[in-house]
Amino acid sequence: MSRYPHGPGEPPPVDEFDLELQLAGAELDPELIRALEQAPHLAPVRDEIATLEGWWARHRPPLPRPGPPVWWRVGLGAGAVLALAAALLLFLQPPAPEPMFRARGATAVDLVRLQGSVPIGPSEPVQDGEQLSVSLIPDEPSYVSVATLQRDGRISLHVTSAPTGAGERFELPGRLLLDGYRDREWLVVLTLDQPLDRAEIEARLHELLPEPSLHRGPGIWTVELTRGRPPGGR
Amino acid sequence: MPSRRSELGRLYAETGHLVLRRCLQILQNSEEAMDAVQWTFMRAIETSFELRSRGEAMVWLYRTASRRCLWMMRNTSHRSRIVDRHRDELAGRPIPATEESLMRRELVARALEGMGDDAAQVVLMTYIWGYTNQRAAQLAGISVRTVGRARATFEARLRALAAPEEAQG
Repeated sequence: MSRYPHGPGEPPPVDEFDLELQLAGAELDPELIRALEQAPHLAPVRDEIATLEGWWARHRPPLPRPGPPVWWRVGLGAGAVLALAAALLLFLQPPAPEPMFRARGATAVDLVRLQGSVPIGPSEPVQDGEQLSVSLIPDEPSYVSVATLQRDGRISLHVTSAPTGAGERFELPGRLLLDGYRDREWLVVLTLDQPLDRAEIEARLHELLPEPSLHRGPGIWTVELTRGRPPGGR
Repeated sequence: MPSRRSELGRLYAETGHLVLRRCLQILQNSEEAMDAVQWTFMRAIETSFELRSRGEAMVWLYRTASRRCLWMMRNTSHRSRIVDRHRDELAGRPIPATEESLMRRELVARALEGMGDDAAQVVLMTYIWGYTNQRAAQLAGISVRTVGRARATFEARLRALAAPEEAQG
């Protein structure tokens, strides 16, 4: 294997790699083999390799097995990427509107801005002209009434004693349109075990003033509709 | 006719210790060296290189193993530790006016930084394995001139890095 020039009659120069080739069983030029046998500088290397060879014969680990074929790994990788993307899409989707307020009595009421279905928090201001949807699922058979109650006692009754079964979704027909009222105002939802007429409901609502929030409890759900400045407004 | 895997198995059994020795010389850690050997033979299985002769197989194995060792040195951020193990060998090389500087592993590590794979491989083969330029060229599959340039670059980097240190000393 050696390509080093050497004079006639001189053994070709040999190095460790020539020795390694010989020990690996490579076919070598007879002249090179003779040179290796006469190379004292390689004797320590030969001993070192012999020692390692003995260790290798006793302790070498098994020949590694290749992994799955490339096409299989590519397919697996693509599948993993797709699964990851699907999981991300699932988690990044806007959450379904959660019940924002839960009255004692375990009736959940959903109050949702209709544009974009964004849930409104209890203290989040609403804007004049904004439209809200109201829905709930009573735990027990109930008669549902929905009204807005203003500080001065004026009442707008939107639904009167609508019978709703347990676990059945009640939805306020149409939309709740907020006007330009500037004083305090509350949305009140009654879920009662018996139907009330308009006058009875209004009387019940007047009992809630001046602070309807304090009366929240079984069968009565309230939230103050805090007005805020419209975006870009003064 | 023996299968390819059985042929490689025989090659592994008969030459693995030679590859291991070379990996040990670079990595100076038996576990890491064994990993490099296993990886090298794994590549032999995967890439289905032709086993035309033992000589060619050894060249391929050494080339692949040295590249793997180089990758391990670079990738595992313990290059300076590895170079530190070799500072005596490196210091023993006749690089004018830089022998003392070679004792400083930081300099060697910095000198290797930014060198291409071929050039860094040549540094391993010549300074750590002790091969001549011709042999390194044969194993790395590059020209002797390229080996010479790579060594010159390495040595120039060492000198440049050593100069400020010598000035301070």
